[in-house]
Amino acid sequence: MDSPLPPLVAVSCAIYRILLLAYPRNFRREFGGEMAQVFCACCQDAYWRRGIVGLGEVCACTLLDTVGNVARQYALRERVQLLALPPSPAYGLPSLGEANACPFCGEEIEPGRLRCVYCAADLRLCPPQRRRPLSSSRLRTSAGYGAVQLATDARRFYGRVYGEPGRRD
Amino acid sequence: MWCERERTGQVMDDRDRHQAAPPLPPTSFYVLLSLAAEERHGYSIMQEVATLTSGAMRLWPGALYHTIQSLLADGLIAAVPETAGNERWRYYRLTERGRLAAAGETQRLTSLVNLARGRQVLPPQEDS
Repeated sequence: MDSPLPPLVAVSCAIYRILLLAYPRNFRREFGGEMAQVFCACCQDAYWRRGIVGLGEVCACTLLDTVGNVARQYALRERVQLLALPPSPAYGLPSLGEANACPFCGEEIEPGRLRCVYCAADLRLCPPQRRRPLSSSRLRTSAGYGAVQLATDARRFYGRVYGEPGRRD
Repeated sequence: MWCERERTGQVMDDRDRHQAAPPLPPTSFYVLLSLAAEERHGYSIMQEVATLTSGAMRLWPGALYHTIQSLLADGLIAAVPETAGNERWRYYRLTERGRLAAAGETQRLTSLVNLARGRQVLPPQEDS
């Protein structure tokens, strides 16, 4: 096992290590080293048994396996992140007085939006701990979306739900 | 059945849970079977699965570690703490929960085979 790898096997292992970069970072950190070890062992075994044909077969099968499993890992990661989202009144439900800030650019997010209008970040993919309510000072000083805008929105929202406040009286 | 038992206050033990659990994917089942006898590292699991299935199932690194990841998350296998002699490979072992899951799956497959025999899809078993 300690003997130097045949050049073809060494090249295949190096290419596989690069391919491993396609996996999500967490998965790579956890299993990347072991996967590279396993692949190298497979390549060595196949090369000694069947030569270049065996090595080619292992590489082709591993390439297909990598493509399929990278997609599977990303799908899994997205599902886990979506499931981890806590119910928040700012996302999906219109609520007044609970303005939230985009965790990426810090700009105001309108209730019910899933994407920041300023930096286009997908808010569903934001870890819950990174979300923060918009601070009152930021609310006051925010040029684009201040208290006046909030009041306008409140009037608009309640007007939609209960009718125009002015007309109800 | 679960809801009924929970409503009536019956406590389910691990064995009941694994009998009622959804079927294990074939790759997970074979990985559990390969770890039943002894602790193994990834490459050894891969070789053992190929031996158990007579080469019909080959687990390449991506599929192997995807399966290991889900089994670790479910607590069916556990990584063995590193020892001085085995620095190169990380070993995995079957947990008690994993053993019960494998037993539950085996029982499910046995009952399926018996059902197939009853319906004459398979020839009846000869008494030896």
